[in-house]
Amino acid sequence: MVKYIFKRLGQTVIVLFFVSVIAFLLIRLAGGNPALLLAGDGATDAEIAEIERSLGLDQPLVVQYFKYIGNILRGDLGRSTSYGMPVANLILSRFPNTLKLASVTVLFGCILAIPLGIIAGSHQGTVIDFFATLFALLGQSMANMWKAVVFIYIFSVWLGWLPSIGMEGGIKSYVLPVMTLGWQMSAQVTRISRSGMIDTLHEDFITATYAKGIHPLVVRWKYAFKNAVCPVITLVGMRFGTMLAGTIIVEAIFSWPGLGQLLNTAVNQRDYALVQALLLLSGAMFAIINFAVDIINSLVDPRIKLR
Amino acid sequence: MEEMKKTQVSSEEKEVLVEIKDLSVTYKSERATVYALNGVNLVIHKGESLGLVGETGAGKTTTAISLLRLLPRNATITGGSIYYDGESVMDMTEKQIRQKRGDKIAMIFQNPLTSLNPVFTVGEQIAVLLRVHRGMNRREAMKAAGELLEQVGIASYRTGDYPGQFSGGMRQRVGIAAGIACNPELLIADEPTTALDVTIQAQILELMADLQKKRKTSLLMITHNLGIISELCQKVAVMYAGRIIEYGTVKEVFAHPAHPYTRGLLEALPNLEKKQERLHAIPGLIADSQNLPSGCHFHPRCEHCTKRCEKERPEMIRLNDDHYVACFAHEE
Repeated sequence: MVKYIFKRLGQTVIVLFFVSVIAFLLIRLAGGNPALLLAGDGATDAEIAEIERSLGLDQPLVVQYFKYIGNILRGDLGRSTSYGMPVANLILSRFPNTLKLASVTVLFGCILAIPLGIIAGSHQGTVIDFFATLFALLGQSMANMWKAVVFIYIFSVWLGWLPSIGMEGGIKSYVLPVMTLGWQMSAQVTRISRSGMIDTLHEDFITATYAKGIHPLVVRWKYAFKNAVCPVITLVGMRFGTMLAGTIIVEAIFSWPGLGQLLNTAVNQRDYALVQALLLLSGAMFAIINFAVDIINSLVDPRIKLR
Repeated sequence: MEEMKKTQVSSEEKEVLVEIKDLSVTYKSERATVYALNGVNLVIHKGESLGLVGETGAGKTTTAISLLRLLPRNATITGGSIYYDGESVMDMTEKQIRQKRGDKIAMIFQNPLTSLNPVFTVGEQIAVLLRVHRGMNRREAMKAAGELLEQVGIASYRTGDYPGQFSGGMRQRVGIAAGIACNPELLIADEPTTALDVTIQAQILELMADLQKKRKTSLLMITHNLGIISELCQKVAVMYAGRIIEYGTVKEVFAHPAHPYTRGLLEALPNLEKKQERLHAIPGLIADSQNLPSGCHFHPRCEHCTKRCEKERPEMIRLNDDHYVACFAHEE
């Protein structure tokens, strides 16, 4: 186990190295010049060159990269050019908002989708199954931005029940973004748990479990579902990771002050330090979550060996 | 010889445990209807071990799972009744039949590789029976599960292991331990050794014979292996195309097979005493259960077939107290 953890840590470091290279190159390939944006209209070439020099942008890419990596290793994520403050502070102020939104979404999504999938899979071809499948189909096939706009129209504009922007409205603020993100997530989770249940319920050992005189609900929810749960855990982990990296569109529509919005601004402003830090952060987040998912799955299913 | 007579006499007096009367079951799929059972009549007495033989698709397993009322959703019971200890199985509530399953009637499955849940420990899969039917708590049940494993020849400390950590033969032992956990009145073994290699087969059969004797459990042994029947059972019922066509004590049926199909089955066995070039095979294929022959289901393959066999279905005829057959050739 200890050996496994060290191995995984090593792999994570390698992954993060590549993420840092790609993040570094991508934003520079995107074109545009942060110095130009900072200097504003009517700046002279000399002024722009001066800003470039102060940001270190006049140096070769390789030098820039190693400076950047060196700073990160010393715990310095750099300074955001667009917000004029340290990147670390920015991320620390925004990350909790994204974390809250992602956690609430995953929590509600699972509470709804897993039972729905289990019930639909256990009663294949019934009315419940039909509606569960329809729910999943709609959730997956409608784009989030479309759903978000429709929800805002119905619940904010038309009914006036819920706020459509920001997170000042307390619990109410969460409802629409969580519905938007949660429907998509629970659609996938419903489908995966449903098909897992259908596969499992055909197994011999399920007939054998029924033959032991165990209540059908226990057979399904305990003895069958534990066989179907690993793909569900993997999927939920992936969705959680995606949401932690910031859901750019949904956060933008609902003006949610999270990482997604930050990334949106950072890219538009060619805020190199901020973009790099955010991409590195989402890479790290994915690595941590995948690691957790692998550990959980190996505990659930003894056939999965950690190597 | 003395003993043999005794058991024969006492089997007459034995109480009936299971009585299946004229049971018919069909499976419906989108394309066809399969007539799996077509009027099965069968009696199992208390403490007796009955072998149910027949080719693949004859309806052996369907008969067994009907008894537990575990038929899949696409199956329909189109007629007949099943009595367990005098109670009608079909009229039991869900709760009543559930209390019988695993406790009074236990089943050992054909393929030990697929009939154990891969994500639960073997201990848990045995212990759950004791928790559900005996009201034991977790620790007591797990301890009892360990003792059951010892009885089937597996060290008790292995309760915490998963099925994947056992070989096929060991897994079938686990299946047997689960089968006998609640000391059932009836143990159904559905081809318990088919998936195992020959040396392991012998061990498993010995184990089952031993346990059955010790616990005085009734045994319904489903198999297509006549050797297993002669070793393990007192009674035998031969099934063909969803009907019992011959029934009696193993000794009597094997010595004087009355139905042409049973004779064919016995002749198909290699005989070490006679010199034989080739084994005898029953001509033709097993009856198509989607499209059953008229009259006696066996008539297209029977060398003694008459006009009457093509039209009428023969009922069971009593030859003597220990032997019944469904064939017109034995009418007086």
